[in-house]
Amino acid sequence: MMNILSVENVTKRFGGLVALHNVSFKVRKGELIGLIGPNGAGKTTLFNVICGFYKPDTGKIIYKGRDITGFPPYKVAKLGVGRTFQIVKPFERLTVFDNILTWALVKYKMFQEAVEKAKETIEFVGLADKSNVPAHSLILQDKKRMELARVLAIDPELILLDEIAAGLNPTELKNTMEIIKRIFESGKTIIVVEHVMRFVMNLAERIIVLHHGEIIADGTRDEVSSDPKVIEAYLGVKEV
Amino acid sequence: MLTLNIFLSCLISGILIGSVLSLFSLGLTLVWGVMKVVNFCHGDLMVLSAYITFYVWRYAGLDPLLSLPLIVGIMFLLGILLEVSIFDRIVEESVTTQVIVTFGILLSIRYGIQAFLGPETHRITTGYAGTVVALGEVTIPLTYLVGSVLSVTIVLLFFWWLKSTFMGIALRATAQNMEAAKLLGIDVKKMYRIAFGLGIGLAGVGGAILSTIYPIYPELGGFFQILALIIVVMGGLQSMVGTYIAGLIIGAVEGVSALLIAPSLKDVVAFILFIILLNIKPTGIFGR
Amino acid sequence: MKSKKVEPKHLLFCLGILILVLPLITLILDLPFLCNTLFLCIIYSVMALAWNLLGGYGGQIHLGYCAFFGVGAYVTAILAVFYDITPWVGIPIGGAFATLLSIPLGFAFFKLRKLWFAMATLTLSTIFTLLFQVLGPGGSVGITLPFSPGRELYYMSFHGPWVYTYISLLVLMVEIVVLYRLVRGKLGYFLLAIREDEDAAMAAGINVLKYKMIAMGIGAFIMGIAGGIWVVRFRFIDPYTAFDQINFSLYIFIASILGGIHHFFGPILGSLILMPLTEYIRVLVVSHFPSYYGLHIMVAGILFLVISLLLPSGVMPLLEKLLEKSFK
Repeated sequence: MMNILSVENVTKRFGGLVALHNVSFKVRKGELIGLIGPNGAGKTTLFNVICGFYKPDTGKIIYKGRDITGFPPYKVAKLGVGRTFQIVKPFERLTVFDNILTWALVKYKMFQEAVEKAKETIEFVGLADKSNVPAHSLILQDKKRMELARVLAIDPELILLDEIAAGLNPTELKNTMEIIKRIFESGKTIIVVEHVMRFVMNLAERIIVLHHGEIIADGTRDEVSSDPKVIEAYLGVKEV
Repeated sequence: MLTLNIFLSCLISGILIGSVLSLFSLGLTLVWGVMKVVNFCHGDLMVLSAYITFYVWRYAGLDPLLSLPLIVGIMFLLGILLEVSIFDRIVEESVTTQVIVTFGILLSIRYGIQAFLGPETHRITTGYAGTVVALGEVTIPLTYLVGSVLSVTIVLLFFWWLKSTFMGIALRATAQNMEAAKLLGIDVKKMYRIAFGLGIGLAGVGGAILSTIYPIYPELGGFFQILALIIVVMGGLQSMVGTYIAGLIIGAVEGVSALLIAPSLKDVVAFILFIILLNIKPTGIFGR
Repeated sequence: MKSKKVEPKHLLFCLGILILVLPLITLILDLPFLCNTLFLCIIYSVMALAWNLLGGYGGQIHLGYCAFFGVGAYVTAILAVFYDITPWVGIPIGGAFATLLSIPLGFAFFKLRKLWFAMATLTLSTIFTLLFQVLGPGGSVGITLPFSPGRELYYMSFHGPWVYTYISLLVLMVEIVVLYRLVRGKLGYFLLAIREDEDAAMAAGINVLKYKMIAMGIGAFIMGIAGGIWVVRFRFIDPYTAFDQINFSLYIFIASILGGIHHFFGPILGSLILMPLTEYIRVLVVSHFPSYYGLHIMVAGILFLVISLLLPSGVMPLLEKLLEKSFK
């Protein structure tokens, strides 16, 4: 089973607006894919469809050989798909540790095991010193790191990162990229949605470009960055 | 004996009442649209206005239709007072806080009325109260007719005001996109005050008119609150026109169901409809 | 810091002993008002704590818990009157029926997000009152528990409220132990997640509906038991009392907010404040100014309003600070 995820002919409409049109691609286990496209291209919608927050009008999502189209989000998460949100969604009034522990408790039935996992994860992302801080008081970068930590706590096989780099300064970006590289090296499959070109191009081998809900390019970094359709879609803005 | 005439009488009377219900529900839609707050105590404020109308009638002898401007004025000012003292603080707060605060006001008003004005039912009996207008074989109480004409007039005035005056347009702008409105220099705080004052004013008119038709008692607020919620949800939360039409429909349903179902079960039917409605179409029949 | 001899633990211990002994004292000294108020304090603590599982921890404001209370009360009464089953057995069965009821109600309401949930549940009081008026045994008149000299223990018929207070205290103790453990474990964390952000909770793999149902199911069971205790205490139930919105839907909500919904013991503290206050006003008002009936509810409403504006986290944080200061 080489393909961990297969998106097949997915179309999603909202009233008269077509957010995704006939989107198809396959993801092999262990890939790091960058999903890019101008604003409103449908990237987050695609994530929402894969994770079960939206039901596609047509098409299928196949995860590890299983048709998960229309599964509720919690079921998809339990099957091993973890995601972060474009606009971070911390459990505001809980501490950083409790945020992560809550996610860990889904995967680890024994309370003590979940605590261990949470400790391990919080160290991994570098938030150990902020363990007991309430989540709402964190700066953006730390909130994003916490999102990452939470996702890791459920031991996902496929991770979807939605604009994890947005709003970060260059140093923060570098840190986050390091963490993602480490996650990738531990064997996870990752799809990264990004706006920040530098980030994506440095990280991902394979790039998929979405525009007006359709895939207009799917290939290596070099192939995509020299694809005329892509250049046109971005109106010549290309930052490598 | 259910004849077509009786049915039509109930139906038409119902629609007429519906226009008054619409008026009062529009107040709720306005507050929701501009401030994004659902006012749990709207129904009780309406009943408060009905009580004020009653006492003005009883002690000053003023017919409700004449005292209407006074009542509306009082309620409008009350609305602004409530906004400045309480609602301004909860606009940005969580839903839970808004529920709690408006609930506190609800209890204070409803049981304040009960404690100080008594739990008894009051009726306004004007000279023309019993008269019935006959259109062929169909009979409609005069109070219904007068009430609905009045409310339709006020609603039309209100819609005109919203569309044509600067204040009205500013209000709609704030409801649609607060950030943009701020950028255009609209004083959002002032909009809140006006919206809330108007919202309660409309409730006040509704209360005053309804006091000529229904007997009033402290718990009436609860029933009308649910009715208003049904109307507003059905109408699509943000749509004024939708709310208006929904009000007419609910009025008709109320009028007809009083005929067909035991009066005591009428409330239950309305509430169950509400629950079903919320489940199947949270954005209402006319909403997006 | 260890120089003072008196610690919070000692204070709580004394308070605990006081509460345990108080009902007996009121019996011995013949203080019916205090005795009854104490009963109310305890039974409301039971109910408010149950409500807060879904309300404070789960973040869902359910304004129709009276449905569970009333069903529990009615089942207990029906079993005693028509099937001669002792309320000692009937009360838990009442709780079970209430939990059963919570399942379809959960499916009907939990799809709705917070605000609409509150509004829709508000209608439950009226619906159930009318339903039981029309379809309930005894109709509008209600059911009276049998008066059987010699079989008092069987029918849980005790003189005065103080035995019922001890029964409620027992329920409260068990409830505190069980809920405290649940809340510190998986259920607690998941409910908090649901409260804070349902979408993120879903993304974690939490079945939001399931956990809301569990929280409500537990709450319903306890409310049903409270209803049963109420019925054996007052020997009588009718649709208006059973599904009374103010007493069994709103007061427990107010008590929880008053005490502090984000604290485990908040609802208990709130009940200990609300009940004496409202009872005092009610009894005072009724005895001196009978035409002002309802004043106690208005006062509760104003108190509610004031607390929610000035002390949104309730009284508990104040109490904690006070204790901290006194013992430093």
